[in-house]
Amino acid sequence: MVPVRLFQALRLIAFGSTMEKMLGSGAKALVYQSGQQLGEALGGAVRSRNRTDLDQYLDEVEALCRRLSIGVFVPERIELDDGFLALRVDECVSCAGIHGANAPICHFEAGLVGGIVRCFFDTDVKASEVKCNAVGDKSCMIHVRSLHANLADSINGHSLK
Amino acid sequence: VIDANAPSAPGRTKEIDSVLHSLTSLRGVVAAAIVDDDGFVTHLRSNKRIDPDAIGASVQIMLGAARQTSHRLEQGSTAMVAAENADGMMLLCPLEHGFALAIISDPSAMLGSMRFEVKELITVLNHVLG
Repeated sequence: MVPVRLFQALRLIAFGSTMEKMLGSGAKALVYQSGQQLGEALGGAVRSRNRTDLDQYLDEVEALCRRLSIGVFVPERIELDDGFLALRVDECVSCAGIHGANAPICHFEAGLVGGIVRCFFDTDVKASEVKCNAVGDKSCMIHVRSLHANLADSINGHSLK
Repeated sequence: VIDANAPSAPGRTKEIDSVLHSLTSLRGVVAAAIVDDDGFVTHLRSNKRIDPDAIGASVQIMLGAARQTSHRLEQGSTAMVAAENADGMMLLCPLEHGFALAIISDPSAMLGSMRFEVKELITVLNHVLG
C-alpha cells in the first residue's frame, strides 16, 4: 500500500497544484468527476451483489473504502423523501493530518461519495463538502442532493436505520 | 445577504429555460447548457440527444485552461471560448458564481449571431443565477 503522506504529496502538491496552475477553477471539476468515476466503480462492484438494501449497500461500501484506506464513511442523515444524504468521512485519505487550508480540499472524496450514491439510486446527484478536516473541522462532511426526484422513488424495498 | 429581487427556484428554472430556449432557436444551435463549478449540467435544452456527463466537466476544464493561458499571456479575463470543429462549433462563456454557459451547434450555425445573442443574454443569466 502507498504511504498516506506520499499519496497526499502526489495528490495535493504535485498533481493538484499543477492541475490548478493549468486549469484554474476547472481543476475542481476534473478532480470531482474523477472521484465520481471511482465512486461509481466501487459502488458498481458492491451493487452487483445488492440492489435494494441501502443499509447493506452503504455498509459494504464503507468496508471496501476502509480496506482501501480511502477513509471511514459514516452515514449521518438519510432523508430519501427530500433527496438528501449526509455522510461523514473520518480519516480522509486526502486531508488527514493536513491543517491550515482556507477552504475544503476534498473534492475527490465529494465526487467519490456522489458516485457511490448515484450508482445505488441510478439518478443524478451532486455532492458538496461542507466540513473539512483541513480547515479545522473534526471530520469531513459531505452533503449529497438529488438533482431530480426524491430518492425514495428510485429504489424499491429499501430499509433504513 | 438575500437579494429580494432574486427569482425563486421554480421561477429561476423557468427563466433559465427561457434563455436556453432562445439560444437553441438560433439556426444550427443544437444544445445550450448551464454548468456549475463542479462540472454538473444544471440546466440543459437540446434538440438532439446529448449526454450531460460528456460536456459538464469538459466545459469547466476548457474555460479554466483558457483563463489560465490568458493570465500567463497577460490578456486579462476570459469572456468567451470558441472551438470550431469539423462538424460543428462550441461556444463557452463564464458566468458569475462559478457557472458557465455552453452552446453547441452544427456547421450551419452562424458564429456572429451566436456571439451577439450570448452577449445579450449573459446579463440575464447572471441575474437569475445570482
